[in-house]
Amino acid sequence: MFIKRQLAIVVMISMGFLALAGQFINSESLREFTDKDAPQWYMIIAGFTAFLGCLNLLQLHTTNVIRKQKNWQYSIFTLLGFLLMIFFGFIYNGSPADLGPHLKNEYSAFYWMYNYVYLPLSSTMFALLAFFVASASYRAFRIRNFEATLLLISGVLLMLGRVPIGALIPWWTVIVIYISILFALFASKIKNKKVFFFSYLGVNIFIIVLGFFLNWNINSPDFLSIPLIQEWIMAVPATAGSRAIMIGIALGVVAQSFRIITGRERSILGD
Amino acid sequence: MINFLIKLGSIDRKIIFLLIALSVLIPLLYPNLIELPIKVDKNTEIVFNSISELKSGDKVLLSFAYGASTKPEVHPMAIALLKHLFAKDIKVFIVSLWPESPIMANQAIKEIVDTKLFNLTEGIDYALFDYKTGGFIVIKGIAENFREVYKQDHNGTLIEDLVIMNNVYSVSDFNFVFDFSAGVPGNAEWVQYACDPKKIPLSSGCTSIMVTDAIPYVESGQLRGILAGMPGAAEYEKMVYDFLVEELNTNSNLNNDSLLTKGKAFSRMSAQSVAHLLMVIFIILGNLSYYFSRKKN
Repeated sequence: MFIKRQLAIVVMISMGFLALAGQFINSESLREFTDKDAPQWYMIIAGFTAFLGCLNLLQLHTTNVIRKQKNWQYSIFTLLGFLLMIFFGFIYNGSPADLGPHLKNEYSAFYWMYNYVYLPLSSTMFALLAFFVASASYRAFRIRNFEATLLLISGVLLMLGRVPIGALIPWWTVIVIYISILFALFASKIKNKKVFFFSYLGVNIFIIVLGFFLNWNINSPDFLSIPLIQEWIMAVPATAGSRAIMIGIALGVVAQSFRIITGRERSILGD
Repeated sequence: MINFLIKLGSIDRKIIFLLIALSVLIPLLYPNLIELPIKVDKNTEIVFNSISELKSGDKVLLSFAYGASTKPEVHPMAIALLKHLFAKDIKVFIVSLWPESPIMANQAIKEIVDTKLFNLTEGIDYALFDYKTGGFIVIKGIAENFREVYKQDHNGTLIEDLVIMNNVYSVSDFNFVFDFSAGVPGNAEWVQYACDPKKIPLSSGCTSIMVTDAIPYVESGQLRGILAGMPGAAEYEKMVYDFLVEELNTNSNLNNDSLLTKGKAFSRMSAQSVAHLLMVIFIILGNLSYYFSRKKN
């Protein structure tokens, strides 16, 4: 109990304070510890965690199969794949290279399994995202409220702006998109449908004709190019949002770290 | 017509899957069917110009942090960048931060060697270092003392015996760092623990999904441009291809009778374009259906 609880807390608190002190106290030995010793300890411990992870995976799925828990059949495949790769990694070589370097030798059985089984399977799993995104965008990207509309418009502009087809969309289409958004915002204010329709049509024709007079068909301004709009979305609103999230996360990390090194946060001990 | 649109709202998703599959498959099987001009993004141009500014003999550290699942997106940009670097006679050092990355790095180098475009010697023109566990700690270690982290290259040759390693002790000895990443550790860790504190120019090529997280570093100049997913890879491939075509007869680093191709991302862009367009059409149809069904109710 002492090793699991009190000692773990003492180690956690002292290491936390030591690492923190290395950043503020100008001491050679402290600096040596934070820059050299602690990172090396971390790398050694990280190596062992991989080993523990493998053991845990084996234990979990073996228990699943033995107790025939829910979806236990999938565990058989996990165990088979795991044991097969261990066999090709540690026992069977199949290439002229020594055991160890054979992992990167293209004639080894391990490399073959990686290149022709794992790699296509892994890419397929990632590629499946495209299908789910397509299906989800069809059902979820709906103009329900102002925020959803903003999300939809920026999503569509990003989707088109990032691919070559976006550059082929003519300037007048972008004008129609802008005017449609503007009219969508004021649609509830105009009760008469005929007035709405003709004013929408009229504004579209007027701006497009004006565009031809201003030679936008030869040299269109930046705000009518979908790839440039996409660049602007990424550079301004997306950056602002990302920075806000990053600052939030950083503050959260500071708060959580403070709780850990003062012994308040004990969930990392399994509480 | 209106009823048809309303019915579209509850269309079986298997039909959507089928249409998406066809929109990707047909352009992949027949790449010349739809040829679309590639417009180069501002950030891709910054990456290209930053690499172009490097001089012969400069040292560039490449960090490979991606695996099998993201290979189709990130690997083409690695190939294009390696071609660009070797054409400029730049010394390349490759470190792997993901367990699968050494295989990716090996495949990338093999692909470059197989083109017979350059006369490359391992240990002189490039060096590969194996995977080290620890993530950002490895990056921190490289920033402080490269030789503490890596004692030998991937062949087991001691670091002291590698010609390419002369005068290389930490990240400060590199002229540029380039990160290929698909997660953590990735470009954010290189900014935070190595390149920003040591003032070494850094750029990155990553998956599309990571771009939003990386873009604040690009806008602040901590990352010199970014190759954003498959489109970024295709744009960079195009720029490198045009550069190599120009250099082929004048650059002594290039073999004239070699195989010069644009690259895989370039040929995949038609498929991505059609798929994106199809998704936009789906979204428009979905909204029309939503509007009419709400009106009917």
